[in-house]
Amino acid sequence: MNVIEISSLKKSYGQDFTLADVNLNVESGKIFALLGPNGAGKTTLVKLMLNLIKADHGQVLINNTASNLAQSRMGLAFLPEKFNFFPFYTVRGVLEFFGSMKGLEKATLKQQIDDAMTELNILELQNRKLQTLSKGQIQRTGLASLLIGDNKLLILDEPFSGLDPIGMRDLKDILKKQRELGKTIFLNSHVLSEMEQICDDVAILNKGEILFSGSLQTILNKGESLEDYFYHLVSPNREIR
Amino acid sequence: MNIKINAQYTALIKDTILKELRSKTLIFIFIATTLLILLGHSLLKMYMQSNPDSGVALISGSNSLSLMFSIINFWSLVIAGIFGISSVRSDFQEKIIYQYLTFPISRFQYMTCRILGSWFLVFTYYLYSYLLSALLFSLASKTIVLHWNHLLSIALMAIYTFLVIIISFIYSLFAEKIPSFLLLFATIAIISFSTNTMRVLEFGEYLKDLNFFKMIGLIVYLIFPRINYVSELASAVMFNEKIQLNLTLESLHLLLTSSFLIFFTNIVIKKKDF
Repeated sequence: MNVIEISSLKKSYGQDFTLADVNLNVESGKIFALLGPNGAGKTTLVKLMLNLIKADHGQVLINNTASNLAQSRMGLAFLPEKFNFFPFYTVRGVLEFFGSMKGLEKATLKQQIDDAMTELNILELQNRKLQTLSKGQIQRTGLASLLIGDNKLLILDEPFSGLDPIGMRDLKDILKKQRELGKTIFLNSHVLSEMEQICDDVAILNKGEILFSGSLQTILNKGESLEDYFYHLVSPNREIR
Repeated sequence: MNIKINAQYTALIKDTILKELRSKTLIFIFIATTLLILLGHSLLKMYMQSNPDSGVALISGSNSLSLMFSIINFWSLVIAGIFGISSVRSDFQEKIIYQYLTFPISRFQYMTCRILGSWFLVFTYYLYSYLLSALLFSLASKTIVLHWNHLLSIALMAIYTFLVIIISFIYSLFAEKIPSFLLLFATIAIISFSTNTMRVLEFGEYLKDLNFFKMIGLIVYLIFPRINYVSELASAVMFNEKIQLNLTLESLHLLLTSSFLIFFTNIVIKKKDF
């Protein structure tokens, strides 16, 4: 079953196509990585999925619901590259707000917040205001927000950027655990080494076009690493040293 | 999955209030208004001690309230503009807008909560300032300066500030804080100018001697809510003054143009790329 279905999606800014006729499906219960160099159109695609921008043509369905409808975002959690929220909120306050926006009951919300903070190792920060936290601690708060609510689909934009090695390891463990719980994870990244370790399916986007979409295993079966395959596909005229 | 819509509305309105409550401008205006009211109270008390006649007391109490009413109305307009603009602009500036719009809420819901939260704060400021003035001026003049018709006046000012917030909200979707603020005051000035010019004309005279400026004035007069009428009416009701207005026609016009303004704002926010 597909959680995300993207068909004939086009978006242009001025005369250049940022996305040209993109078709993509993301299967339920898998970790899916959208890979591409800078300027490939990855962020535009994520924004279209989240209805933050409007497509010129085509459609995005999230759980069979058009992405321009609020219902499509039920059971969806999004983590931007740099999580940010108003600095006067405490860590617990942010998570309470996110839970309220997802319509959680108070008792359920309290339990979920405690569990999420324990998992992210930020329980001792719960009463600290965001303005007093380090970047890494704020990002962990953002990660904890993904665990609030009955989310079936997690969308993370460049999740590994700015994380230290421990943070990276923790994030990979959390994502794997969420997959085991049956959740679908959509990652937008260009950190290929990390992606190769955790993702099931990949799509490679370059200059607004999908160059490859399929399982990671298909690539590995060709005897190439994800990095080499990506490099060949995106820069076919360059040789690997 | 069922989402509790009311819980979302409450959380988002509360979030707007918490955010705007930290506004330095609000804190400054709140303190300045309180000091001004206390100063007014002391001056009135001194005046009453030197003129203990009861007739003078009633007039002085009402006059002081009248002056305060004008000041409070002006500050409410300023705060409504600031909050209407900053309720959205700060979401852009802090790059938090993405978080809000990826919740399972419609953009209309986001807009409504931001507007209602801002309006709640402005109205609370208005009520606080007005009631404090009325209480202290009543004590100083030893007469009751608060009357039932004041409630109607307060309700009218609530409508006025609500409309100002909506206009500010639209501008803030496209412009930075200061340009939005200037645009808001330009809009209010144009609405005021056009209504004051057109109100003296008979319906048949609207198209007579039509030039560019008159045409702009006529368009503004017809399609914008005549918000200055609302504040004029609020003053007239408060001080039992007469005002030349066709209330049925103006109410209908206000209802239609305000509905159109909300409808237009919804279209704008729905179509906007973030």
